[in-house]
Amino acid sequence: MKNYKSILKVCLVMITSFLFVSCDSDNDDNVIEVTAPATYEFLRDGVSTVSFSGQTTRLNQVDAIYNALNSKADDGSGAQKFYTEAQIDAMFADGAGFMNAALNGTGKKVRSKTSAGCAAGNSATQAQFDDQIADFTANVVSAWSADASAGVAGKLTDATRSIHVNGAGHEIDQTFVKGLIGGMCLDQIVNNYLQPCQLDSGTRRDDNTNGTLASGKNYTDMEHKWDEAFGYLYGQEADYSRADLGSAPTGNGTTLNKYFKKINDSNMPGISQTVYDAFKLGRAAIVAGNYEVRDAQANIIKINLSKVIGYKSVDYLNGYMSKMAAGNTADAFHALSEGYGFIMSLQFTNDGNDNPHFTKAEVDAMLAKLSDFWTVKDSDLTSMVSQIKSKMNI
Amino acid sequence: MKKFKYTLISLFSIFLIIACSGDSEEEQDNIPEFDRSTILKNYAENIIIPRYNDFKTDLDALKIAVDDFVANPNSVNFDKVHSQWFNAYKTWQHVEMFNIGKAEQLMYFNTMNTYPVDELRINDNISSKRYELSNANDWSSQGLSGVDYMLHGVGDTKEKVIQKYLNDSNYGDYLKNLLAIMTKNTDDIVQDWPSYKDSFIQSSGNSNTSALNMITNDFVYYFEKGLRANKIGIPAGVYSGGNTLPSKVEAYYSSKNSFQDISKDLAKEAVIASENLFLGKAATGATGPSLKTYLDYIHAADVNKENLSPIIISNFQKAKQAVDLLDSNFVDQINNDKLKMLNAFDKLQAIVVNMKTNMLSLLSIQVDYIDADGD
Repeated sequence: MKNYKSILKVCLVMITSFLFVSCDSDNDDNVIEVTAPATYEFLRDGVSTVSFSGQTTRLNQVDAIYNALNSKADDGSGAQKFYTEAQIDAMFADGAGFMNAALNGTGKKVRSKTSAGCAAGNSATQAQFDDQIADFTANVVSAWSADASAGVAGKLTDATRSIHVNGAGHEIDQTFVKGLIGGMCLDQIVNNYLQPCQLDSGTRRDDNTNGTLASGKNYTDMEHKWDEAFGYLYGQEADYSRADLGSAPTGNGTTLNKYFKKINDSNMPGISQTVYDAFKLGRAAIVAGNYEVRDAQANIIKINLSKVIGYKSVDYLNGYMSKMAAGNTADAFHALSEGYGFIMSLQFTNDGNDNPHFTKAEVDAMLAKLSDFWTVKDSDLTSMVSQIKSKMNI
Repeated sequence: MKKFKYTLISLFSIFLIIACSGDSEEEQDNIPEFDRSTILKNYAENIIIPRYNDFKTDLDALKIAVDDFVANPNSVNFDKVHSQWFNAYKTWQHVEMFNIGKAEQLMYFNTMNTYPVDELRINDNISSKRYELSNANDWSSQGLSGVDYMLHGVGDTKEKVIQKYLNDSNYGDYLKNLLAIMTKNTDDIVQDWPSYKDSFIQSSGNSNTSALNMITNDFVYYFEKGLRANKIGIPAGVYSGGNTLPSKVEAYYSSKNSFQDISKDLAKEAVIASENLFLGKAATGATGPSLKTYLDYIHAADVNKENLSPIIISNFQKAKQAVDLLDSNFVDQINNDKLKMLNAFDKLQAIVVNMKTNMLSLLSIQVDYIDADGD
């Protein structure tokens, strides 16, 4: 079997090389050659020009909010701690009030980067996140020890887990953070920092071509914008310049990288290398001033990262149905809460032509069918699954 | 392009089919088919039923001790309850894995040994005299772990605990209620086994609902979750990004408040119980048909198949040694040197891999549970 695979691989490689050879004649002679470096490290006069500390801060802020939305201390200690709406709002909107002082007062805020891409932001979606915080603190926290049932917020336990839900069975730490995976991480990457409205805004393209650096920095604005996109995916990696970052993402944190790794380990083996290589080559293209190669890499990233959202939406909708069938209601509601967040995230996908696979209206229509987990219909979920699969070609 | 590829694929597939069919013919010796029901018979008659009977005996003794203690809360009676609780908890380690039949219907192991205990809930239940504990949210406020809290957690010294029972009869009532639920469920299961036994033994086919597949899955699941994760992995921080959670050890309050360090005894007992089931070994020391003999048969019938049982047996030796190295107080062990806990976890994990992946595949038994994805 293995042999056969490798023979097939050789054949494919041969065919692919034919393709490359035949394409070569198309290219003009004056194209700037771009070579990707071995790792995502770019130097100017021997000093690294890669910077995305703001993204790391925001991802850490989301991890902290995730704890708060489960009535756990936001420093990750695991201790129980109940938060008010004002406290979580401050963390989400103002970047303030975190137990980890390093997350406070940095000017970095999660909310202002949520559903806020330069290509298509939407304040109504931002408000949906605010509503979830309000729902959690008003209804779930106050019923922390009560028994949940249809229409009644409280705690729900089965043989696999305990969760705390609102009256509709929504586990809000899940709906919220899975929503932010699209609403912040993916949106900021594919609808903001990889977009001409950021990369080429104002004089950024000329500045980059002419080597004009951002004031007081050793990078051009365009380089930095690209790095910020990179940071929304890799911002919690201890060492972004390690050689195996492409083949072995750690899945650190609670946001996009975590599910990126899962999809690389399951549905799309190799996606992490593909996306990493595109980030690397795109950044090298910026250094070289080749914007066609840059935009081609941006498209690879847009298409692939969007699939992570599609696969996880499908996984969790199916997971809900199989877990209900196994009699595990809490585990099923947990899965559907994750699914709810990932479906929220679908409106932030990008098909490579700068269109989302699902519009906000389409997403809101799906969410309406998930508005009450106690009465949700399998037939609705099944049709959502097939819709997502066919639209996203997964 | 596409057509070319498909032609290639079909060509190669034909080669494969030809190549494969040649291989398997030679292995058809005249070894009789393995009788899977012999495993079920040995497990039921020599392990499951006797172990349940032993547990019932110890639990009944605990109930009597509880009745005496609640009637007369004093130091002597406290010591008796404590030591009977410890006995029953150890014997329990030999039955927790049998989540089948009546036990499964009753969600028995969830009601008997869910930890950590939900202190808020249990205190609320005590003061509000709530004795109907069938909501799954109450799994963490009853059972042997619930008794741990009632004996070692409502006060941090023996004197303070006794004082609670002297001052407020709700404590005694709640503790007696826990024993009433536990003994009722245990009696139901013990009484059910003689009649369940025959259908259990006969259900030796290979389907998701056959007894052998279910009991094997239950065993592997227990080993992975109830033993490896709950007793060692979770408190040692394996699932919480390295943040240790010492309050999640089994029998936490007994260790925390220095009554007696028993978490390690329970973990050791659980590893031995698992090894015994794998080997088909009864409490008397006699061995019979088991997963081990089944694996041995498979290897004997086809030497190209992995000889797995010596590997698993050696894995068990290493796991027992690793658990032996631990401090008898797991809370201290985790706080002072969690690496030893992580080492024990790794040794248990080796068994999980060999049983869940390799054994189940050799025995062609499908895994009937899904891993939680850890979030």
